[in-house]
Amino acid sequence: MTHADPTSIAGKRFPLRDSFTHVVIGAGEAGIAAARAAAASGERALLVDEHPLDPGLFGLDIPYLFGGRLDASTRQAARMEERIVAARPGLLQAMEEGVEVAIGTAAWGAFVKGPSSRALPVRMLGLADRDAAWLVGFERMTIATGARDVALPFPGWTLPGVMGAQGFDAALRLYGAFSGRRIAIIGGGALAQQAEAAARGTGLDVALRVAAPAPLRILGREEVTGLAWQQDGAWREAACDTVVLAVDTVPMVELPDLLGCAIGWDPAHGGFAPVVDAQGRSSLDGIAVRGEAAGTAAAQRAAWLDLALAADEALVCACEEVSAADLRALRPPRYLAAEGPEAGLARLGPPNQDQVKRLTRAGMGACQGRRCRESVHALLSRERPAPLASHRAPLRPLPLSVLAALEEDPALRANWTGWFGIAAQWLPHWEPAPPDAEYIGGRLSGGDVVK
Amino acid sequence: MIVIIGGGVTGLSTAFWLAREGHAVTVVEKGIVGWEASGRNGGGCTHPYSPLFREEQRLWPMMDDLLGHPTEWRPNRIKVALDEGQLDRLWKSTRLATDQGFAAEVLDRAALRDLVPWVGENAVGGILWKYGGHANPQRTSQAYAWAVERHGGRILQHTTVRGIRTRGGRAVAVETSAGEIGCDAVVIAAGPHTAALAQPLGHRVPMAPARVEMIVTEPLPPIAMGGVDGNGLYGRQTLRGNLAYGGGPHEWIDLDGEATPRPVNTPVMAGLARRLQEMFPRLGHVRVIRSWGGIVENTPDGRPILDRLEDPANVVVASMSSVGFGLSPATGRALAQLVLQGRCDFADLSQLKLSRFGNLPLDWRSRQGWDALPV
Ligand SMILES: Cc1cc2nc3c(=O)[nH]c(=O)nc-3n(C[C@H](O)[C@H](O)[C@H](O)COP(=O)(O)OP(=O)(O)OC[C@H]3O[C@@H](n4cnc5c(N)ncnc54)[C@H](O)[C@@H]3O)c2cc1C
Repeated sequence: MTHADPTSIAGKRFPLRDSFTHVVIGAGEAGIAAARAAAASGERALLVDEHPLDPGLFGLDIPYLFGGRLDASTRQAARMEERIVAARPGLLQAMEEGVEVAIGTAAWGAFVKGPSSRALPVRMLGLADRDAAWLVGFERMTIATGARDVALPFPGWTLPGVMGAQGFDAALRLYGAFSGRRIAIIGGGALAQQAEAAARGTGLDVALRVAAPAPLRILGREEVTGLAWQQDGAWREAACDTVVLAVDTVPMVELPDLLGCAIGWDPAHGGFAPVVDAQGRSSLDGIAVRGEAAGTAAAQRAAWLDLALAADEALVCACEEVSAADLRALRPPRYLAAEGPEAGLARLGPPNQDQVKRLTRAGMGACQGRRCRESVHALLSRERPAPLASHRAPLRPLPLSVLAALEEDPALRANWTGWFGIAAQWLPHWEPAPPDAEYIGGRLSGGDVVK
Repeated sequence: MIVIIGGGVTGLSTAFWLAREGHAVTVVEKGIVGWEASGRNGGGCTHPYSPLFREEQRLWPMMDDLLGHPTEWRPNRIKVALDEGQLDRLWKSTRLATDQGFAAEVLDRAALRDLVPWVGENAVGGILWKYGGHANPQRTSQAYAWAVERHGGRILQHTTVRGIRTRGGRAVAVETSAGEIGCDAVVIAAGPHTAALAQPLGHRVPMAPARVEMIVTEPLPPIAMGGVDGNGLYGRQTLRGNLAYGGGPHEWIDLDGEATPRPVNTPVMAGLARRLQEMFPRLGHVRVIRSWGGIVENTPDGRPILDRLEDPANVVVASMSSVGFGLSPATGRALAQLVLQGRCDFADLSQLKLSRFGNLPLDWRSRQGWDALPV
């Protein structure tokens, strides 16, 4: 090659803030253990955890279903950091043993060489705090991001006060910031039992627990004021200010999916789970997945989801306001005021969640399907499980200003063009391509693109 | 039977125009319709440098009705300049359209701010293009496919074409992963895979595949004219309100067999955020929710190849060289004419023939600096 196309990515640098032999994402038990083990074996290890969260994420229910039940103390960064460290004593131990620890730091992307990303010189992890995004280099990664909540789209589920088991646990034990008083718990398995025990242990009033799958209605206008459930054909009601959906959790497979690790449908382990060996090694060299991110316990999710989704009005995707009926009819979003194809969903070939998203917008909103992935998947998987809906960076929604702060190679800026930088492409195609034309496509600044 | 290889917008639109006139068509798509570049692009419908520009502009306002499903097409574009150099280049491309009788208006800072409340003091001005527009690529791709079927055409998804069988200088059958389909004519509109499908027929179709990427933000209240871009970005505010923008360095790649490589994102996505914030300084707080990539092909001069071959004489080759979404309504109509009558009667396609690359050196990619780096 004479010299590489200057408007291409070839030869561009990606400035790194630091480099580690081993990065561990998620400072729960599994992550702390992995980071300490890495440090003990002489690796330069970084352990990151997104808690305390960018306060904007609580309202978006990312990464858990927080249901607006965390108090204002979560906005005080320093105080929250103290609480996180207090809640996870292993963090200090890890630090003493030489692990570099970064809390309040979200992993939003991972960039590795592949058939369409040949120009990436080393493996890179995208990190961000509240102010800026940056990159670090790594050789090995352990993903220990845990599990997230499964929302059940019963009427009223989007009211403030409806939480997931993970959100409830974080509010109670990690942030010490739970603002509810009287709670109802949904679920019959270990997850629900733990939530109940934790609630009672903290002196909360547990109004009731609905253990067996039953139709539910969450009551309230501005926020939760009660729960109605069906039992023996009759509706019953109880007053409460919080409903904890503790039927099931699902492995957080965002990073493994982004990296291209094999992920399989495995209802015995929470649904989509990375394919790992006994040591947690994924299909990708040097990438391990541990703890609940690698698989959770089996639960009664399907029965509960079926009950919730039976109603046409069930609001499946809260961000984009897509109901179960809209999904079945493959209806375009309301602002288009149009109908879907006559046969609805059946009009498509084998169901594909990403394709259905493109047409209905279910899962296309600010929470990126964190609250509706399982519902949409259940709706599409009547005959056989639909494939995993894709995850993309940024894995946490980052303000433009934060992402914009990522350090950039000056050569990348100098050669930035809107589209390719092929001068002849922008000149009349009914005339022969001129040899030394000026490039008039979108260009940042400066002179002609060197060809 | 006319067999169309590739269910992107080029193939689907061709099938639509043919089926609409009552011809028997089958579109063969290895995955899902619109899954590659056609469903991943910026949705721009403004190509004044193309001989199909006038037809592009004429057809878009009718596409929702013609296809029977919404494409989210909206007219006009607003271009934002952050310095005089940007403004100067914008006027140069504007002149391509105004020379053809289309109208454009100068926007001073205040007028720009009235139309686009997100711009800041750093904007020197802009141009309102009273032509062009934008549409939703995913909805448009699917709308074409449903319209093809409504007119009696057939779409085979998850079916891969493996070869084209010829006899006596004509294509007689298309070999697919689901068996052979007899044919009277073939259109190869397989995006970056077009070259590999044409090669066994004895034709070198020079093209280089590349990966490009885009980002999208959470929705904002829609402004009246959402087709706003500049500062090295192309894109739009969607009708839902999200800002969807792309631009910046592409990556030249190689194909490995019949699959399309997974188009991942790179830290270039942060560069997109940086330029979006430069253009709209009031929007620093707006969250980026997703990014994606797509694979496009480029010919050596960056211009389409729309050509009916001489041998086999019933095969049409169509590559849009990375600028094919917006033109697709017109491209499909032109290609349908090439299939049926061997020439297009509404646009001069004489410069878009394959033969212009007759003397191209074999190592043209290297010479242009377009080689893929090793994996
Ligand atoms: C990020 C991005 C932004 C863009 N922005 C714009 C824009 O704003 N405006 C614009 O006009 N253009 C834009 N483009 C370019 C535009 O998307 C493409 O030029 C256009 O979609 C090409 O359509 P196509 O049908 O020719 O090819 P493709 O969309 O690539 O479709 C080809 C199809 O052929 C199928 N196929 C391949 N091989 C086989 C086989 N052997 N058997 C069966 N099927 C096969 C593929 O699966 C694919 O679906 C952009 C592209 C990208 C990626």
